Amino acid sequence: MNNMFYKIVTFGFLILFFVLILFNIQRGKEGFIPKIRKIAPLEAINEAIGRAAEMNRPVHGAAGVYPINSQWGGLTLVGMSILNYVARLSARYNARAFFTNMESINHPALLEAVRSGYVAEGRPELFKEDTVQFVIQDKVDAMAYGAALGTIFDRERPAVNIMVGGWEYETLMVIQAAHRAGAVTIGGAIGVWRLPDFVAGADYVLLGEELMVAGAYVAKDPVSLCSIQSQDWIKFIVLGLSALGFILNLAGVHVLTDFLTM
Amino acid sequence: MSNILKSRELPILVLAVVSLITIFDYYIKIPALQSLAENTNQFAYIISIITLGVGAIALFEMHLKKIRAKKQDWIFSVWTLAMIFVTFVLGISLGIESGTYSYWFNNIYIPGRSAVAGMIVFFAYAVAFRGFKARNLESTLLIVALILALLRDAPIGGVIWSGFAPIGYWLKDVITASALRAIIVGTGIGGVAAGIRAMLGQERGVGT
Repeated sequence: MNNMFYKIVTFGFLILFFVLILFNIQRGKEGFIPKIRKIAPLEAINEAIGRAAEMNRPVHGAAGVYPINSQWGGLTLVGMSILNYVARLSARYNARAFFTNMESINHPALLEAVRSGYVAEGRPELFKEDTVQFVIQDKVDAMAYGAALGTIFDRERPAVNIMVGGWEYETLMVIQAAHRAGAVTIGGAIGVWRLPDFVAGADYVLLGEELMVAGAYVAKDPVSLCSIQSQDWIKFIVLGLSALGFILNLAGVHVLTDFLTM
Repeated sequence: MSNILKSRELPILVLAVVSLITIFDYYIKIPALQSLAENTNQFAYIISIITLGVGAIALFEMHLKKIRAKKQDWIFSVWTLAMIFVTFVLGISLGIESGTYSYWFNNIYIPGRSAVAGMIVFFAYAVAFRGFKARNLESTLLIVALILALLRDAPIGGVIWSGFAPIGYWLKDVITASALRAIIVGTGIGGVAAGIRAMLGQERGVGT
């Protein structure tokens, strides 16, 4: 199978994805509300921030270590969506929140995501200069960021630590520092890399796809919820293709397997 | 004009146009489109350099405020700013290829970074000790899998019983791999959907 055919098919899938999302957005606009299962870590954010306000201790949020213009920048963008929600809840419950960042290119976007959260709740005065802190720029890895967060947690004693987006080796340092400070850690990981760290150390973990839908899930409006449903439809198509590939393989036909492993 | 610049739609429009240029450049090879895609990549690079300045200013502001207010650990802020200043002056005056600048980087930054990296093993033990407690059926299964994985790789495992290695590898290659693949497929689909939602202005906090 040539490369051109592969590109045509994947482009077709992309168009299909677009159409399904647009179709579901339209359904949402017409008032259809799909049934979406509860995502425990996202529900826990609300409770944890309320607890932080009661304890008069701050909330910490970070959108990971990847720059938004990198291969994994999508994770950072999704992380910022969640931090926008965290900022809204912090403003609603009058809990002090601070957000840290280690990539300069993410800084203006994170500032805006957090600021718009406070504005949306009608509490722009709660957004201070140091609400979003640019901690460090490290082009080698994020060790210095992890070490800095350890010190910041010792000083600030946050009650909640929300680590979303993409993380690297420093994950364990940050989780352990948060535990030492007595914070509940709500984290997110997308699979192979940091998943074991989060499962072992965090109190709540957003697994893979849950992280990707978080922004739409917390919005709770019909349009956003309907757009999540498109993903399930695509998943059914992928499951169907996997089952078909399995059956064809058993029959000695490898066309689909060859195509999917191109 | 200022209303257009402040509008909610403008960043979403920029995001959508740049994303579409990049997507179409992958699928359709048109020289004009290719050059447009290269230019947008260059823009991203230039923006990243500008934001480095924004970040540096934010960093200076934060530390200067801390020093002025003599907040807890303010002395470390003095140290941070002094280090940034010295590195900056050395880089500008001697160039980043110079031996002095490299000495500074290789003998202060790198050993410090390596020391922090070496500490991770202690954090791993601490987190594992905290996390692997048999609270319910799932965590008990996790501990059993962990012990089998340890006995698969540790030399003593093979001495005790030769069956630990095949069981350990079966857990890794069949159970773990299939679960991770399911997560990766879900994440991939979720990533594309999140990107499309961002382009359509439906992703909260992204340009909204």
